[in-house]
Amino acid sequence: MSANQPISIETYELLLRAMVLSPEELEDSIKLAERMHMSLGRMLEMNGYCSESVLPLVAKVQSLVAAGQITLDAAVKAAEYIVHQHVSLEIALNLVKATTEIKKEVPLKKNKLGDFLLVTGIITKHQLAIAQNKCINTNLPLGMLLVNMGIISQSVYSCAITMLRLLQDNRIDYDLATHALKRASVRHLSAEASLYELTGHSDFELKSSHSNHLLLHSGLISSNQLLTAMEVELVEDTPISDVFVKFGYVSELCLHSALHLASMSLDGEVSVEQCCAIIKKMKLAVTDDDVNEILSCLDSGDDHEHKSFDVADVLLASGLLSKDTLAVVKPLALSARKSLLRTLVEAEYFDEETAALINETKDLLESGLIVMSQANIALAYSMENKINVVSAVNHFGWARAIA
Amino acid sequence: MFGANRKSSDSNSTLKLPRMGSSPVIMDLQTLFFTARDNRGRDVELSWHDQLISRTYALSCLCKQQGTEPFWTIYDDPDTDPKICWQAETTDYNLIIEAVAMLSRRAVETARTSTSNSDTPGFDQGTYEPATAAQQRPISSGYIPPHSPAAQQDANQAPSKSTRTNVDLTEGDLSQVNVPQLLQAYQMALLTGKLEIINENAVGYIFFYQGNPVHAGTPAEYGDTAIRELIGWEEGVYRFLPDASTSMRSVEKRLPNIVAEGIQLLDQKRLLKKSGLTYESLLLRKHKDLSETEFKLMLTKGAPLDYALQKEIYDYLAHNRTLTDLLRDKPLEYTLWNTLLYNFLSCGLIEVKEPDTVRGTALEFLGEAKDQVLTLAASFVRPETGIYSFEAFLFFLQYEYYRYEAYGFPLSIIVFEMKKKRQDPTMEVYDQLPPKAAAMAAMRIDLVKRPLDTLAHFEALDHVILLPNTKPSQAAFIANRIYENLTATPLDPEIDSGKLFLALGIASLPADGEDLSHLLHAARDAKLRASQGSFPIVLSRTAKS
Repeated sequence: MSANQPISIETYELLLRAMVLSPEELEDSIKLAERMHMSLGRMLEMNGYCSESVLPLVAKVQSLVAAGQITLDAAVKAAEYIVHQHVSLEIALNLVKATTEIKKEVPLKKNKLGDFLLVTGIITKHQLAIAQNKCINTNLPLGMLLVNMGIISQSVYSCAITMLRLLQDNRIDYDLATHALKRASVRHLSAEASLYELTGHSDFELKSSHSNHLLLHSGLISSNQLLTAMEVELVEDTPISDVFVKFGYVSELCLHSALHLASMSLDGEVSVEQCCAIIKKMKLAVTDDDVNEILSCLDSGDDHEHKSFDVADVLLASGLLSKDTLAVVKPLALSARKSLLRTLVEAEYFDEETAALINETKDLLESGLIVMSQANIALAYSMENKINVVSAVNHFGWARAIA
Repeated sequence: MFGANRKSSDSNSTLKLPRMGSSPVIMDLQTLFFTARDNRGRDVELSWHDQLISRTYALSCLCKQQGTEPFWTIYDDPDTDPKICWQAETTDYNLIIEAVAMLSRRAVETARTSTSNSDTPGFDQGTYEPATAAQQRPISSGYIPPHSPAAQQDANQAPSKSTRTNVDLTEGDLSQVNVPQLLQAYQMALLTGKLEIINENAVGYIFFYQGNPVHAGTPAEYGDTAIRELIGWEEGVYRFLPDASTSMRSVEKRLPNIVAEGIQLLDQKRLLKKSGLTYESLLLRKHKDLSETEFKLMLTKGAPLDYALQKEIYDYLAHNRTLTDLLRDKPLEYTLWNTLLYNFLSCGLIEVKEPDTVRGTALEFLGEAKDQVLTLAASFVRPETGIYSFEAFLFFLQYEYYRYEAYGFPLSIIVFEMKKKRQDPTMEVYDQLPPKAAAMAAMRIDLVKRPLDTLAHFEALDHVILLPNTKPSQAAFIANRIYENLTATPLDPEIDSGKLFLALGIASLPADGEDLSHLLHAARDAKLRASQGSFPIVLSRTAKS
């Protein structure tokens, strides 16, 4: 057993189901263990409920339930064998023939995304079954879980969601959707590019609402959160705005403001940049007064903030240059009338590629698309993986307007 | 050449394979060829009775000296009055299949003419029915491998007496007839319509126009590739919808060629299946240090495939990868990965292992004694959370540090705190996560971290993940995934992403110093900055500042 498996609550629940002890006895034991600074396992042993050494085995049984490999009933029986008859895990499982009971008793819940991926052959039934079981335990949407489990890539996930949205809007048929997804997966294409290859048409862009765009552009939600919300919208038939609020991505107040601003922006009353700046501030608004105060800034025109960043700031924050080195190089650069980066390149402190990445990072910072912490990470990632900073930002799912 | 009588002396030394109830397909030709190759200088003969035209034919194969091409001969009526219909020295199975199909077609045409003239020399008038009637009547049986017990049993019976199960062209089960046979039957009968094949997971279809496939599809493929995939379907049911037509044209190659490729794929698929390959199987390289020349040499035995692709995938398999990993990271068409893995497997480059044999605990061999080790491991765990204690983390960290010192493996840690924001608009107050939410958080983290990474408590209230052999940017990537997983959906009905406070600090060796004290200090500092800054993940970059 991997000792760092999160097992506690479910493991004790399994012990309760196996009638090893009652809920009251468990509660008393927990309290007593806390008071006496002892482990709960030791306390259970002292009280004569079960041996401390069987807990990891029961936890293992529980993890098999979580992975969908045995049914709950089989797990309860196995736990009884382990606790009362002191048999090993393997013997307990053999006794209940748990391994033969896999899956058959757990009918798969229908899931639009799961069915779609299954039909295209991108995932197997077995993988879907395991993922769906994990969905129940982790409360994560299926698509995100499949990405986490390494069964599909983020791009396939995104592509599948796009296809399902287009299907829902009756813009493509099921046959085309499955073929286009498969093609996109094999040829590393976007959903739009794959559909273009198959149909020769290019009008497959998703008509995402303007308010979603504003929320994304203002950084209140990430592109991955938008994808998750779109999946839940599709699978559970819930309006996406409700999903944003339910998942706590934005407050109701903020969402209403975004909707209001979106219509104003469409009417040409405010620019997209102004809307985004206001929505960013709305994140902190709690009362209507806060909202009114923020909206009153609308006319002042000072919402569009563009900070300027010095290359030295980026170099220092990213740890690429120490303050001492900067103190030496800066006067040299001034006297030679060259930029700081050029001076460092000529001194072979960096190569040209690194200098280009630093400049790219600085541009992204100045455009307000990322903050300094993200810039450090993106720069380190792009240097280590030999990709540009925009690609790194995309890999991390921080792309707002960049993509 | 045609029409010449068979030499009687040949028949004495001829090795006869069991008679079949339908025309041979590529697999039969392969069997015939391999038998002839093993019996050099001797004719090997495979005969079949074509019920559609009530005729018996025999195909013989003779392999002479090594290096020469096999010599093929088709005889008409081999039992009573054998006549040579066709001869060729070739290794092209498709050519032979076409010759067989041509014979049947010619016989049908001749029969049609003779029916209208009421004069059919060489044909059994009483049993002949025109091709158009083929839809209504049962035709030849499914393929039975020549060496199978069923075939042996047939061989002992009178050749013309059909004891096999008859199969309907209009509908049936793939357990009775295989797809290549169906396709050849439709072609020979010059049918127009739509063949639908339905298996457990999907529906595939092929449109025929006068016996030729014009359009085909499965949920994942179109055209030639779809037919190749359908040939690989060994379970399911089929039905034929006469006269159904389509304006789509996706089939490019000729049917015999597609069938040949499909059967080759099917053979490859069978070998992969026999090796126990599943999507979760590990693909392990057999040779750790194989030079490029050796690699090329070993691949020469495989099916023709782009060398660069094979090399790329072989290099990718340097680390333990499952088939799922491969298809996720290097998406390939089914036909391509099937052939590629077949090559690797048949050329002895890789072996397929069940995930448990490698990923299961390495201490399985201990049997019940393993439980004592598990008990020890359990003592490293805080019982109320099921997560390693801070002391256990330090214990593991110490060993990772030794590895870093000895071999230069980088190591990273992510220190993080998870709290619940109290609903108090006037001030920012945080509470510890309730146990259920903490357990769910741990489960979500478990999805992201690798099996070798260790999740543990950090000091009193925080958590840490120890990432062996991990560079800072990779650690940042994992931290970001953790953040996304924890905030994607509420951990608890009360704790959505708006009410969850997260701060993750990342530090690494050698980027953040040279010893553990510096590493832990840098991680603490990064976490503190994350908790105070505008973005919840901070990568410590302390080495040069």
